[in-house]
Amino acid sequence: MATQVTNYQCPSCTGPLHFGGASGKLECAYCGSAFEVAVIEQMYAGKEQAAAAAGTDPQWDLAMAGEEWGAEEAAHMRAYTCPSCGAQLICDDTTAATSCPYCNNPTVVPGQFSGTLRPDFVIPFRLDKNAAKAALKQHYKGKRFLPKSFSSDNRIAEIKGIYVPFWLFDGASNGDIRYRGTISHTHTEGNQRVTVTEHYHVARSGSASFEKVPVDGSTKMPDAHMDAIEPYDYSELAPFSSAYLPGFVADKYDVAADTCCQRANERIRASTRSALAATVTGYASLTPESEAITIDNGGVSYALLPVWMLNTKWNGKDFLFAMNGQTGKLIGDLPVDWRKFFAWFAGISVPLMLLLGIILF
Amino acid sequence: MKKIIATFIVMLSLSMLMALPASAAEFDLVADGAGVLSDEEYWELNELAWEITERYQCEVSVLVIDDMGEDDAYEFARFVYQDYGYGYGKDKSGLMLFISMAERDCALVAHGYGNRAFTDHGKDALLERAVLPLLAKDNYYAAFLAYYNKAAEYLDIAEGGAPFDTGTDEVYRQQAAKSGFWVRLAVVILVPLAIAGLVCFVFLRQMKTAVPQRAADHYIPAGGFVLTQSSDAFLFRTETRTTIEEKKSGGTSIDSSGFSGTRKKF
Repeated sequence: MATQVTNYQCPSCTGPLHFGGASGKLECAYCGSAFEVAVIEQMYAGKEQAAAAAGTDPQWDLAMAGEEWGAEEAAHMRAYTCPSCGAQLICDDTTAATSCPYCNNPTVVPGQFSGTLRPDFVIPFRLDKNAAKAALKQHYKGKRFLPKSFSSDNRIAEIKGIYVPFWLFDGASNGDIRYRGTISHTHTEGNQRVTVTEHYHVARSGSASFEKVPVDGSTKMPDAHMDAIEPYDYSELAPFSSAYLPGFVADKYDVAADTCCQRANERIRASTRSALAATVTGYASLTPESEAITIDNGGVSYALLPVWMLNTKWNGKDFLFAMNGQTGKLIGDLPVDWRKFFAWFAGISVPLMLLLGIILF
Repeated sequence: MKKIIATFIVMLSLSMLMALPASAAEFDLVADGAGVLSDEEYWELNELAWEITERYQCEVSVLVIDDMGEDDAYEFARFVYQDYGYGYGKDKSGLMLFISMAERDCALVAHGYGNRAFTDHGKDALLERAVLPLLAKDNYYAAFLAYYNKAAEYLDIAEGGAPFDTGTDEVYRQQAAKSGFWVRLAVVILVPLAIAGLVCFVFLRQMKTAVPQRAADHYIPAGGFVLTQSSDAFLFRTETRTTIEEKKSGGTSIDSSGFSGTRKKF
């Protein structure tokens, strides 16, 4: 268990460094200095090794703590010491980067991303907290059923920039689908309407390659939210460095790749099906008769992708929003004011009824 | 006597089926080849038939047979009417109610002045309102009596200048107005509800944006999909025919042989 954590300190003033999404550099909020990620990485390479070595020497005896904490709870807890203020940080076993609650210094837990757990890629945050707040306000706009008090009264209870662990699946699919297609023509003979229907056997086979289909590997993150903020621009994928993490929360995965691959396979299968169906045109009706889609699994990468998570509370209920930290796409379910709903329903239907009544009677 | 006529009608039907040359023959206007009437009913109806025929100079007849085989009731009635001397005067004016018992088919054919006096709507109304309900109960005498009474009523109306038709049929007008009212009311209520429901559904969908992805289309690189086989093989052809319901706006549809008519089951 790692007990040593790292926070990147400014070489000029020893203030804490944060990753700046706009500049792509590590910035010091105190003296205003900015440093290339590679420079700080090099500087801290020795420190990280030391931290990793220290991580092999546990200082926390979970067996002793078992009297107060349940075995299950203890198994998922980790304790670290903040290198800035010396406070003990209690985190769960998937936390890889966080902030010290005492001195607010951004903190990285190097052991979480060591060895086979080390991510292959990271997409750095491009958008900051203010952009997330602005996007949330924009999200409220044009929502006709949104309760007025939701946007006016509610405050963002929590906003966190999180590097969410994703598995990126490469693969290829081969599909063979048979359909029954019909084309109908109608003409009139005397007082009869004659419909001639031609039946066809339609066969389509094809292959598709897929690059980096993402599936989030964190049970903390709701799948629907993580899916809905896709896609990410993979051209900005960078080799992983913990230097991107300061200032944000980062988790390591807690759902293994072989569990996540099922969701990736389902999505690959669905896309193959729709790609083949898109090649069949000109039929009035098309009914699939048989389908065989095989997936050749390729490589799997482990990446941290940037997400802003925003929590709001309204009427005692929590509302969770997620924003793609790279593209700014924000999603999240909003409450419905059913009085507004019925007002709109009546507002549309009643005048239309009156108008039609005047026309038809 | 009735039996003789009945036998004649059966022979007449057979001769028609065998395409024997027809000859003009005089016979009573009610011909019961299936024995559905008593002698007394038979004579009473014939007397009524002649009375109406003479008064309006339009022959109103009834022909009942046991079995017409594979034929169509309207075609059969038209054939008999044409080839066996039915009709009054030079233009062979008349109306014939034909019934085939085995198939429980009936047809009403008109010719000459009968086409003007008995419009398509008039023939339908006569059959559906006066005759079919009684035929369905196998009450043949009452059905034929109703037929003659209604025929006399329509002929009387036609003598006034305008035949019984959609425009002069109060029942039809009331029914049309009633059904039209309900259709319009349904349109007035349902169409706005459907439009409002659709608009509100679209607005409601905007409130829910956290939806899982079902496909991975974004992750197929350019040129990443290759179609390796594409075949469309014709299998067979099917044909369905539906009769186009003629919109009734009144009047009489007369075929090339000068007949108009309708057919029903009872």
